[in-house]
Amino acid sequence: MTLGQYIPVDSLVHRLDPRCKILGTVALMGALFVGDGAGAMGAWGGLFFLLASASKIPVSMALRGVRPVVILIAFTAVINLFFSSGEPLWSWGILRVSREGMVAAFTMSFRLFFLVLFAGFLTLTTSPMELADGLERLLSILKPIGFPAHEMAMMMTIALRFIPTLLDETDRILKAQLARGADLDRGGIGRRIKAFVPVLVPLFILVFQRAEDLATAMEARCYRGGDGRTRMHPLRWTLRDSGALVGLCLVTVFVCVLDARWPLLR
Amino acid sequence: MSLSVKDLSFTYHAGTPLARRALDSVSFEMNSGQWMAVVGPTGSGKSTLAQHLNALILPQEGKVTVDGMTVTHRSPDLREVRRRVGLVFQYPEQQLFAENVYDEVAFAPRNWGVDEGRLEVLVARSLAQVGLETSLSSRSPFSLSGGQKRRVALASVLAAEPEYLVLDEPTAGLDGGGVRDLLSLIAELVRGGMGVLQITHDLELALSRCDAILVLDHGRVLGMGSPQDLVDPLCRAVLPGLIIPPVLDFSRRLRERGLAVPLTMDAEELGRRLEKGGRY
Repeated sequence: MTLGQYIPVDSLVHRLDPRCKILGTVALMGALFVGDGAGAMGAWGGLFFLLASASKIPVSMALRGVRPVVILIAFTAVINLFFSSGEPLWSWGILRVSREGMVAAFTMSFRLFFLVLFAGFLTLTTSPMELADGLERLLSILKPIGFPAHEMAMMMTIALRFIPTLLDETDRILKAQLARGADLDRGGIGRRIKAFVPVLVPLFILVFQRAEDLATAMEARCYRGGDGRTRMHPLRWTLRDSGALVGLCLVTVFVCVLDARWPLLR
Repeated sequence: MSLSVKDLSFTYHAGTPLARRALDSVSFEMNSGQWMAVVGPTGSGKSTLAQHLNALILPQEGKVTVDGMTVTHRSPDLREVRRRVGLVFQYPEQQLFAENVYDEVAFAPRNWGVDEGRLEVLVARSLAQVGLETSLSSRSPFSLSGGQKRRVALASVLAAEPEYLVLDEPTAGLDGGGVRDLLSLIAELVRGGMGVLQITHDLELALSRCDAILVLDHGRVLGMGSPQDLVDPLCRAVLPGLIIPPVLDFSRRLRERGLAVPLTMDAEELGRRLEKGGRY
């Protein structure tokens, strides 16, 4: 699973300021809700390949990040396909398939797919520290109204940072039990769920232990929030970042306008 | 009866930017009743090798054979391999999960289909082997001390009656008494015919207690042989993370300066030889 995982390679996208990448991701996500026709989806797909090439992240690795939400995407597609309103083309009991339902299933599932894919790109190309710094700086404009920007950024960093750690811990516990003959991948669904209970118990214990250790370690190093905190690597916004962000925004606006003007499937 | 590894290679995250070669053409053989140490710096591939022996990781290249059974993706013998090769992870106490010590120790034999009557005998015997009272059976493993948890974890592997035991840094985090007890237990298991492969950073332990030593560095075999064969090359090789026992290092330096002393880790023996007149 690649969600929350950072791949440290030297690429154009990796070198961009995290604020540029965050704003770019937000712009892309917003655009996904505007440009959602078949033509736009094709354009987003093209953009994905372009980003993968510019960031030197293998396409297969980026796609792996979508795997955990495949069931959710399939569920969304099914619900939209059978339960949308519109002129029915086929019906059976409460299930009705309409043209509108088919379009909704297509757009909703692809929208969800690209949302996860582009969000995954952000974490694949931005280290948790950079991400936290970027978020903090972006959210700090809300500080005058009492918004806890630093605390929010820190919580998000820790959550992201611990996704791969928890996956590793789960893998370790699974292996420890497989080594003792546990049969985790055979039998019916009920048996498999039951077999996973002994995996969850040590995992929860480890999670709480880790949380406590982390809190103690932060306190021991006199952590006291964001006020007066300096940075070892201060963020620097350059012309390259402005160019990348403006370029991306222009592309998204162009795709959305084209999609609105000449809708392919709607 | 032997456990053999031939030209074993393994790469983590193969085909991605995170690809890392963990093992590179590793070959060795371990027989029943043999105590083998695998030594090497952190990141040398020791734990990856251990997981191959128990079929938790399947070979990408090369071959792992346990008593004639070859470990492959399609092998019908994977569960039998896991039964024959007991694997004790580093810090195994972190993987305890059962409600009480009895269920924890009985987990593996239950998975192998041992009936409840024999299970009681196995659990009692395994607890006794690791020096724990059977009265602890009803206690939660999480309420035990660190040393006791370690013993329960070891008992839970021994209860499956493996033919081979692979221990991943079993002495890490144990106090002096705990290390002594564990080494006595391993010696007893080896005398009983079990093959034991112990991963360790402790060169003194490997040189003084084991029958054979495999030295790994960056996934490659640097050397393999008896402690007598390897003591001199090990002292000369600069392997980060491996500490040469001080007395051994001292005796080697004396020999380099022309003194007629043996390469030894025994301070008293070295003292006696010096008194007898180690000379230039």
